[in-house]
Amino acid sequence: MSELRFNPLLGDWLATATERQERTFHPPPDYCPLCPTKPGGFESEVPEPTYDIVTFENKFPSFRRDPPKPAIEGSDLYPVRPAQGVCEVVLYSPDHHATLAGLPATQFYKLILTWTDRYRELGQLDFVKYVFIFENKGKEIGVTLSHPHGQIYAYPFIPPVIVKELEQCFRHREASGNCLLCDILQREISDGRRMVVENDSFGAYVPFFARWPYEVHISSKRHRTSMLEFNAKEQRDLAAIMKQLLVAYDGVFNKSMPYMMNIHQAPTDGLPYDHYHFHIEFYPPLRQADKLKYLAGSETGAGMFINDTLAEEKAAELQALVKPVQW
Amino acid sequence: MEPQQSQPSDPASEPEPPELEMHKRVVRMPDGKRDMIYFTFAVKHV
Repeated sequence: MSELRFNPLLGDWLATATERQERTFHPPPDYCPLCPTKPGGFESEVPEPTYDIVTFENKFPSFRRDPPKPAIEGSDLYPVRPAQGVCEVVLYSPDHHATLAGLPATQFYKLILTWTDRYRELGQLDFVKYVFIFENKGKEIGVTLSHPHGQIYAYPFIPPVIVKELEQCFRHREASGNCLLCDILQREISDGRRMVVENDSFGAYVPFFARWPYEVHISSKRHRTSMLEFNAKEQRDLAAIMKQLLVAYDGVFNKSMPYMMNIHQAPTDGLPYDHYHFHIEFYPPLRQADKLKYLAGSETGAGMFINDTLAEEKAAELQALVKPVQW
Repeated sequence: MEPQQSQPSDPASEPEPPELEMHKRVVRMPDGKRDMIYFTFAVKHV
C-alpha cells in the first residue's frame, strides 16, 4: 500500500510505501537486477546485453503515475491523498563494479544530458510539481543495490527542504536585490578558504554552514534556475567539476566515498522561480575512515546539526586531492 | 585563518570532448507495465 499522509505538526507530507519492504536486498553480483541480462543467465530488469545509460520506473516505487486509493480515510486533522508521482532509476553504466567517480568525465556529460531530459519530461506532467534527482551511494547510506545508479523522484508537491531554500532565496532577493546562491558563490570564490575547485562555469566549495564534515556544494557561476538553461559549455564544465570532486572524495580515505548527492533546481509547477539557483549538494556520511556522522537526537529530533569539523580544514583537505580532468 | 585566493582547476586537464547529441529509444519492459529508455549519444555536427 502507498499513500501520502499529512503531518500537521510540521506541515508536510510523508509517503507510506509498504511494498518496499519486499525490495531486492544486496543480491550477489550474478543476480543483480540492474546488470544487463546475460545469455542464459538471470533475467534482470534490463533485457538487452549492454547499454550506455538507461532509465526506467522503479519496481518498488514510493510514488506511482496511477496510485491506488489511500488505504485509510483522511480527516480534517489527518489529510491523506494518493501517492501520485514517478520514481525512476538511472543506470550509470552496465559495469556492476563501476562507481560514478571511476567513470570518465564524458559519462558524467552524458548523465547530465540524461538528467536534463528527465527533468524536462517529468516536469511537464501535470501532477508533478518538483523533479528531484539524487544518488544514494554506499552501504553506509542504506543502499540495497550496489550497481552504479541514481534515482529521480517526481513529487506531487515541492518537498520541505526546497520550500525552505526557496523562502530564504526570496527573502534575500527582497532585501538585497541579489540571488542568494550567486552571492554565496561569489563570497566563497573571493574568500577562497572553503573552495575545493572551480572552472569557467561552476564552483565547488565546502559551505560556511556545512552540516556534514565533507559536505560540498557545486553551484553555477551564471544565474541558472535549472539544468534546462545550461549551454553545452556549462554541461561539460559541470561534468568536469563533478568528476574532480568525486575523485577527490575517493582520495580522502583511499576508498570509495559514500555520499548522498542532491540536485536542487527550480520546481516545475509553472510558477516563476527566478530567485532560485541551480546547485548540487553532496553529503558524505563519514567523518573518519571508519566512523559515521550519525543523525542523532539533536539533528533528527530538533533539526539542529552539530558538525565536529571545520569547513575550512575539510576544504583544504579536498582541494589537495583535486586532480586534472580525464575525459 | 587568513582569506586566500582559490586555486583554479589544474591546467593539465585534458581538452574537453566535442558537443554530444542524445538519442532515446523507448522499450516496454517485460512486465508490460513500465517503459525502459535507452539513451545513446553521438558527436553533434553543427
